[in-house]
Amino acid sequence: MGLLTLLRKLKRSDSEARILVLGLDNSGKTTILKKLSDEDISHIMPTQGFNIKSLVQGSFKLNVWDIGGQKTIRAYWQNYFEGTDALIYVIDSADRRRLEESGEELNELLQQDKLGGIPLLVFANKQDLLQALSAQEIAEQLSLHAIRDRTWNIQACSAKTGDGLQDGMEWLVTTLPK
Amino acid sequence: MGLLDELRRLLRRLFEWILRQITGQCELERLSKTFDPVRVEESLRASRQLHDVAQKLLISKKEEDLQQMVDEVLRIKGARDPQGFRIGLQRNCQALRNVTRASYLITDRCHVGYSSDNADHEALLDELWRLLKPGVQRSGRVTKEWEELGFQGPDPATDFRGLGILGLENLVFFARRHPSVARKLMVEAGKHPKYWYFFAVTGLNITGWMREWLENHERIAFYFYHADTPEQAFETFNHIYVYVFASFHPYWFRCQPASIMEFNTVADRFVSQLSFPALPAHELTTASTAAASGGAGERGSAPRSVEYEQGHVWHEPEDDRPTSSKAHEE
Repeated sequence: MGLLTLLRKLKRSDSEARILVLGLDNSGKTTILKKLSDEDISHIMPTQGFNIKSLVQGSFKLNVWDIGGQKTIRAYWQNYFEGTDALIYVIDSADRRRLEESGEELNELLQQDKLGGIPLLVFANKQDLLQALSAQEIAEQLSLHAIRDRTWNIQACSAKTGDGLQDGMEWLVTTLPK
Repeated sequence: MGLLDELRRLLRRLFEWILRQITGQCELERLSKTFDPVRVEESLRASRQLHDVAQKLLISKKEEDLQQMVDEVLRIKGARDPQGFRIGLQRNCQALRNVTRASYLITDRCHVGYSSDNADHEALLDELWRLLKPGVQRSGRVTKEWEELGFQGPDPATDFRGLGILGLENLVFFARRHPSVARKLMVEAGKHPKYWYFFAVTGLNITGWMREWLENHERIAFYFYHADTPEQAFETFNHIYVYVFASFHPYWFRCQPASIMEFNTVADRFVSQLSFPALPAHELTTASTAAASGGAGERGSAPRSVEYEQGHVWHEPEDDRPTSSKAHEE
């Protein structure tokens, strides 16, 4: 079941929402986007710049922006903040080496005025890998519980198998300001 | 199906019927007398009668089936000149099967994931470094220095993903055959203050586009008609890869993008405008690498079609291997 089915179920109408998907390079942002759109994910390439996916259901339109995560292009992230309704932050749960770096980037984002107060969904991705940390371990290491200025949620998922994506998106779409 | 498609189909059948009355041969028999695999494939796919056998003929992996299936087509269609039909059809179908086989080979190679535990993979990655950074010692295996080659981060292994080992092999081919051009592109891509892009990652994108074109039997498929062996298929793929890469580079600079964030927009435009000259694949690279080595300085002009004059001869600097098309084939 893809995003369209979810949108149909929620029966939202007459609105447009903008979702920003960020995270370090190789965390799985593009794969998540493609999987949610029921596209083939066997030949994903690193993203230079960004990908955008628009999903329309009736009069409701969901625009999902997936921005490349390389260190050199994180400076451009801020150009995409304006008018964002929700933030998805993707973490490679198996990459322990860069978990700290990932947490630092997230903290920076949470301090941005333009992203102030909007819902945050953290995808603890790559749960299909043996060495993956659980969503709870990641929440602790990143001190997510200290976030007080917005609704947030962490969802374990695997973009490869699709597990958890639906649950996460369902939470996010219902949390969006109506 | 739209009304227009239905009408087109009817007209096609009428036209075919008239021709058949005049020549006494069906469309497939007429086409088989020429070498035109694209239209033979169309004809095979359009025929309801031949649907099953055409499926097998076009996508089967078993080589020995070809003869048998050609006979099957002849039996179903009948022929005025069975011997001529058989030979012609076989020649066209062999070309189509070469495309299909190349596509399987390429996709299979993409499915071989890069593994840091595999000594061959690591050696290949190391070779890429040595070719692009001759004489420069790397501080370690996982290091930020990889970013100078246009990888995303300190460990290139994470970038290969869906393109697997093929992505690396294509890059290494480029750097082996045209070391000075590859280095020049890498340096210009990496150092330009405004128009920089990720050299290695762009290479992976090109591998990905080409894999898809080949799978869909479009754009580059015809280069594989005579690739009878796996070696020839990979070689052909590599030559086209260099052509695409060396064409992309000057195009990117001509577009004067606002930043790397425009990569996908520019790339889409590039892909739609790129033309594939009807030359043997190994002759493609001469003109394109010549254009790319001309420097990224052609600013101010609007993006235009990526076509290069044929016969533009370019010589590698002396420290490099010769790259004349002759040398590739020997």
